[in-house]
Amino acid sequence: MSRLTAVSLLRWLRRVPGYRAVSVPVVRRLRASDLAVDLTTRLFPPDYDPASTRTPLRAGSLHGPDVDRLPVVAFLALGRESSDITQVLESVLQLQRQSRSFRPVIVVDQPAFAEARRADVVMDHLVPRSGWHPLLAGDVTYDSYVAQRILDLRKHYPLVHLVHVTGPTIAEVDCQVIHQLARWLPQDLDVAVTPSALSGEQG
Amino acid sequence: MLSSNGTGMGHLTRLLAYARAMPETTAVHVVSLSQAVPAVSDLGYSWEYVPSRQATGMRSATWRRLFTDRMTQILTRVRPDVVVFDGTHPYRGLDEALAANPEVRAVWSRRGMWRPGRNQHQLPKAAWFDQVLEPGDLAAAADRGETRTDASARRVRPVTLLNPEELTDRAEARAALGLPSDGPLALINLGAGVINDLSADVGAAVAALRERGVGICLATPPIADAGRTPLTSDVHVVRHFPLSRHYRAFDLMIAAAGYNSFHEALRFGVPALFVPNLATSLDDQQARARQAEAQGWAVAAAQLTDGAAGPAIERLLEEGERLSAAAVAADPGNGAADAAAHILEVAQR
Repeated sequence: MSRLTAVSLLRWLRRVPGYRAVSVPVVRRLRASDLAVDLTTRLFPPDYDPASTRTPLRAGSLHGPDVDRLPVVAFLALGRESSDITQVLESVLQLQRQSRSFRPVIVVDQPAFAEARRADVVMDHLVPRSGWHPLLAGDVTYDSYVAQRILDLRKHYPLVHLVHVTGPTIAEVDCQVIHQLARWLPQDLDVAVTPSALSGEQG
Repeated sequence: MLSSNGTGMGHLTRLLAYARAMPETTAVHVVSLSQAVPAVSDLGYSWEYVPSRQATGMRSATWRRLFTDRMTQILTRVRPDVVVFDGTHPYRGLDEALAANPEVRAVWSRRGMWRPGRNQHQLPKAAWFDQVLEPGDLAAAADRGETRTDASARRVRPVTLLNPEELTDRAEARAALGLPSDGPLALINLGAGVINDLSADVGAAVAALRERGVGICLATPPIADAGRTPLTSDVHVVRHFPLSRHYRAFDLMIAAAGYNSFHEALRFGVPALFVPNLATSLDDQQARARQAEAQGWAVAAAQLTDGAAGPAIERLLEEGERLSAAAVAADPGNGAADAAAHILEVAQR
């Protein structure tokens, strides 16, 4: 059965009266069944494929038909000076051009949105610790707030790694994770460095 | 205060107008999808940023989950008495965030002057809010949009961030913006454009002003990338928020007819040539500009290219003082205080 046929069949099924009333409890019971899960895992052993789904997102230095399949690496740079963020961003983009294995999401507590737009990356912002006052904090501690936002990164992006940037450059172990990530990606992924990004590196 | 806007200040500016008009005992916190939001700290307000769908490049459904979660967390944490959303398209997810925080009241600040026949599908979202507030428009008589018949909306006078008495005088304004103290100066506020491109309105305006010996000031919003601002030696780049505080630096203004620049020019008596931005999806700038001309308050031109800039600017130079004086005489006053009162009344329900 082709994928198109399967999708068409599923759409038809969803229109059948009572479909949800039957399917939801059935699926729920199957998922809760150890036997069903064991059989499925034996029959269809899951291979880890961080490029299995397409998730549109700003891609930084990369482009191409498969760029939406690249996983996301989040870079958390808190408590840094604005000038450090520029350097961090450059390091991230250089790593991206070298590895061609990820799309970055930069999380900062200093507004550097103009640089994010120039680099065509997603930049999100946390209130800095110094600005965490009762009006916007409520009963929430700053660390609890940051924790929630870190968890949300995993929820809203196809996140494969989270880098805590504590210095002007990316730690070597994180660089290695990102380079080795490339080995897990399909070799035929059609992704390339954006020409303007490449000329910036060479210039 | 919650604003839309991916990169602009329009909605933020209106919200700040409401905030400034509130008693000092009112605590205000700004949440915005605009990357210009850090500017609100210059006015003493705290802020949080939520990336817009455009800023992330996400699918709508994916972004909606992010937005819903963030707004729910913010409302639960901050526990405001009222949230004011300024925009023409309340984002799905805001309703869920409000439902999760039923003690929070909500006001939709929804300006009129919609292009005829557009955006009707947003009107039912008024049900998410306790009140719809419509900041008035000096061009309201020309409003042919879907909101004009909404009898439930609370309407106030036109809203501007500042009042005329808050503007600096000419000398102080020019010094603050680093402009020459002498000579005529024009402010061009038409959005992005290449100043040497005569095929575009900005370039045509610059050329026509140069021919007439008028100095040129190019308004650049706080969010603009400074490194890419087009410059020549005789063009002054002005970047300040709120720029309207220093409007007396300029002898004339050439601007699009967006809500804020339109009302600031007319209320503050700056001789104005309005060139409506026809690329907006909803804002009926053409009607706004035409109404200003019909009322004898300003000059309007559909475009400045193809030789149109010269005659329009000539007319502005000849008649601008008279037109702007008529606009000031017709000013009903700033509706920001009225809006603030309505918002606080909703907060106490």
